[in-house]
Amino acid sequence: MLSAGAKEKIQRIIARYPVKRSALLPVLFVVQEELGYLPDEALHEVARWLDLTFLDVETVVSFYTMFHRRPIGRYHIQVCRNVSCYLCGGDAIREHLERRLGIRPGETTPDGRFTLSEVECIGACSWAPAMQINFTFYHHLTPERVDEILASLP
Amino acid sequence: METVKVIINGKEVEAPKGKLLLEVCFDAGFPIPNFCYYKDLPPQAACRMCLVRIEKMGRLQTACTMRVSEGMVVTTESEEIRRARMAMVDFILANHPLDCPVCDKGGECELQWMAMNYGDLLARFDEQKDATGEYPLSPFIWLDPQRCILCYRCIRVCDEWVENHALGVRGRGAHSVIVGNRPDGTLACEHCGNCVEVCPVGALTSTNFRFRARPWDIRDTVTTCTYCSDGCQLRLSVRDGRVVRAWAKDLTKMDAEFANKVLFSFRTAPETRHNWINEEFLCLKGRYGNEFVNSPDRLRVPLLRRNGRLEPATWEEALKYVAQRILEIKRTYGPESIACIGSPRLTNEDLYVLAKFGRQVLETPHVTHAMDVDWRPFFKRLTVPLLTQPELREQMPTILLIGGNPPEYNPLTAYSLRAAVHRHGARLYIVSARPIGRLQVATRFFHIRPGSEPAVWLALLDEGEVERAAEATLLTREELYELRRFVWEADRLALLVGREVTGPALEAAAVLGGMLQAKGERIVRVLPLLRFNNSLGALDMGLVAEMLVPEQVGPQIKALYLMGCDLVRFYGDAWRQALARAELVVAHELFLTRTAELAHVVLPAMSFAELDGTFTNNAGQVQRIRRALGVAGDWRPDWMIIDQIAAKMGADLGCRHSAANIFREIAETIPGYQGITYARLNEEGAIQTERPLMPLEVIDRARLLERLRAQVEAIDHTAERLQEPAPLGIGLFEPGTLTEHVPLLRQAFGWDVRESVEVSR
Repeated sequence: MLSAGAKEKIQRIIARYPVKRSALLPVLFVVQEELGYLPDEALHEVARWLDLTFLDVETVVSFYTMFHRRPIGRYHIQVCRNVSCYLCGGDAIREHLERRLGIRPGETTPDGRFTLSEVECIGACSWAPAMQINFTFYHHLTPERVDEILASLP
Repeated sequence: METVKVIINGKEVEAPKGKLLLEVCFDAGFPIPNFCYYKDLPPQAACRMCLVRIEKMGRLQTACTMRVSEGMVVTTESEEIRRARMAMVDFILANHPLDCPVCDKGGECELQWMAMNYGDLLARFDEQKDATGEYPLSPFIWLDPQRCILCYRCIRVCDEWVENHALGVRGRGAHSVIVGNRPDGTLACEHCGNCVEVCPVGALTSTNFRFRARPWDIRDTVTTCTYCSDGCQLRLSVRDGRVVRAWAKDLTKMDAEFANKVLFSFRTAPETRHNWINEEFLCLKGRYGNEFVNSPDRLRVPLLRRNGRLEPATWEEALKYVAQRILEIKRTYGPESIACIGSPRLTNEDLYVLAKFGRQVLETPHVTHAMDVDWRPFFKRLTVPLLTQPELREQMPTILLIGGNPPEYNPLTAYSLRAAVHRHGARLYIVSARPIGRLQVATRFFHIRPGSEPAVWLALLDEGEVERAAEATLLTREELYELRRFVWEADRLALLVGREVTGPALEAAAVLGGMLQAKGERIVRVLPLLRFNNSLGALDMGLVAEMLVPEQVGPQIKALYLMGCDLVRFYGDAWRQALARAELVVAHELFLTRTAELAHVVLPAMSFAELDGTFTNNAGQVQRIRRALGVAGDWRPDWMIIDQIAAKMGADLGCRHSAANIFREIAETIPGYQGITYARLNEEGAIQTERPLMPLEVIDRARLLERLRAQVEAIDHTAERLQEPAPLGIGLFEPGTLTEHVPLLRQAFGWDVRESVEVSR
């Protein structure tokens, strides 16, 4: 399921911790980077590597919005909806994205390019309103700036 | 132990350093409301109900995670705290339905109580509640996620008490849901139901009990479980003459007012103690296996064989027939032609009267019981006292288990082993031919060749035999030396002996403790993992003759007096022909078993839920069983049936119409039972009998070693280790004479009763 490179990377991560289960989050990120999402088989595999149960792994994955159990778009747009962003017009940004992409939060564009999500605070309150596309932050957003950003994506 | 002084609400209290503040407050008489705290489980601090003010600390603190230190000044009641708790209740109720009258927990719900006492009756949330339906997580356990307050008690109990790790929380925040360990969220576990027991609200419920009774229309009776030899205490809830549930919650640990006002108010006797040997633990069978007593298949009237068929008869007819036939057979063939075989499930009182009947009235030497393993040599050569469960949990830093599969056959012992590790870091060594699931807390696991347990005992007894043992067990010499050091260097050692240990090895298990204690100042206790709830009682009551083989019936044995033992099921089909050869077969039974079908007279007996009496568990502790059900059939206690037959034969067994009278006689005549009375049992719970110990000097150890060596030589030295752990439920889920009459168990495990050929009960 995984490339040799990813497997090696995972072994290195596991070796870093005195207790195997501590490696769970970084290992999951490697797997997701490789597969794009975390299917059941991958979770079983991770559980085996770390001497955990499937339930242990699955409940951790379900806690974090940054892990995906289903395939998602190439660009995962996460709009903050928490207090600071909300007060600075975060909902207008979300509405603009919905209109622009023609999807609602939780959906993926038919071409598989974008997935839109609403998330709680992403730690960018002082530059609100903010969003995150994959692992890049974009802040001080306006609808125009959002258009620029989307156009600039390869 | 280092103690500290703390001031709680102005009262100076001395407490062990590092004890949880919540517990210190509780002991000092200042109970603090809480949901997620649970004694002996790791602190969770999820519900934030236990907020208290500690001087010099900025915010209110959770008492369930705070450990006391010197000079701590604590306030548990104030306007600030009252408001904080009110807010917490409001918060917990934000998505909780307010429909207590239709909730199964209504009337014994901790949240209901907290809301009434600590909440504000006006909720501040007016948002729509996130309604979801309820659904089964397993055939035994239902979940109503909306009622869940996410206290994590169920998850912690599953991890720590039973090591199933079968529950978790999926999602986050308000959308968190308890889920089972299958990918679809249902449960793959042993369905012990301990998660249901500890649930403070109506989120987790039991299939057999839900919506069948209200707490105020049931009556509870504390009694002893009728399955394995560990002897758990349980509370049987009865409604309208039917057992509706078994539970084990420690009511004394709860908010006293809640317990008194809510939980005790409808019950027969307030329980002021909970000194149960099983604390609050029950297994699948103890919790869900009791409804056989309600079964419509129970025998309700005596049956007498007429013209080849069993037909209903009156007690008078049946008893007269039995008395007459026994007298005839005794006269014709002599007393030795009659055999009495009891069941290790029956009470001491029943078994004692059977033994007395056999010896004094029938005058036969064949007075015995159905045994799976012959433990007689073990108890004969016992050199140290038996180990009780509380001792195992609290006092034994070194524990060695050889053979056995406690999670399956002695679930309480498995619980105690885990508790010993969790509570004080006991070192647990396991020697087994198979990997044992759900005892992963073990420090070391020694994987041996199947059947080579005797070799381990040999090596433990005699250092010179390590080489021989290594060959037999497939362990290395180093591993065997490690085991020897573990045992010989321990200050306090618990030896647990599984049913794989037989013959001379069993004697070795009995003798090793004495040898260790003779070597120096130390304490050794031994726990034999017997099979049935009263296996030890049956031995104590004197049913100790050699068990018959079917071939004896016919030529030698003419009459069989069977009390509650299904020989065909237990020992196999050879007994069918044997029973056919007998001139008289009398069977006391609850159900028309395969054996009873072939009897000449079947007498309907009472079940453990209808009787008063005692059981003796594998630690030699005597515990009461108490009558929980009224009379629903024309059945009688086993001892009474025998007493009446004896009377018809012109003998008086001295039962004087009560189990208490019989027990008085037991206490007078059976060694170890002196001084035990029903009154004391009611007061103290379990009382350990004092077993006669054999002095080491009397034992011919050289001869024992010789026999043990012979046993080791006979081990099949070509057998390979078994790599697969025993399948989950191999003991718990197998049908037996009682469990097959429990509708829920039959349904859940798809037992087809008549097809089953398992040799079990």
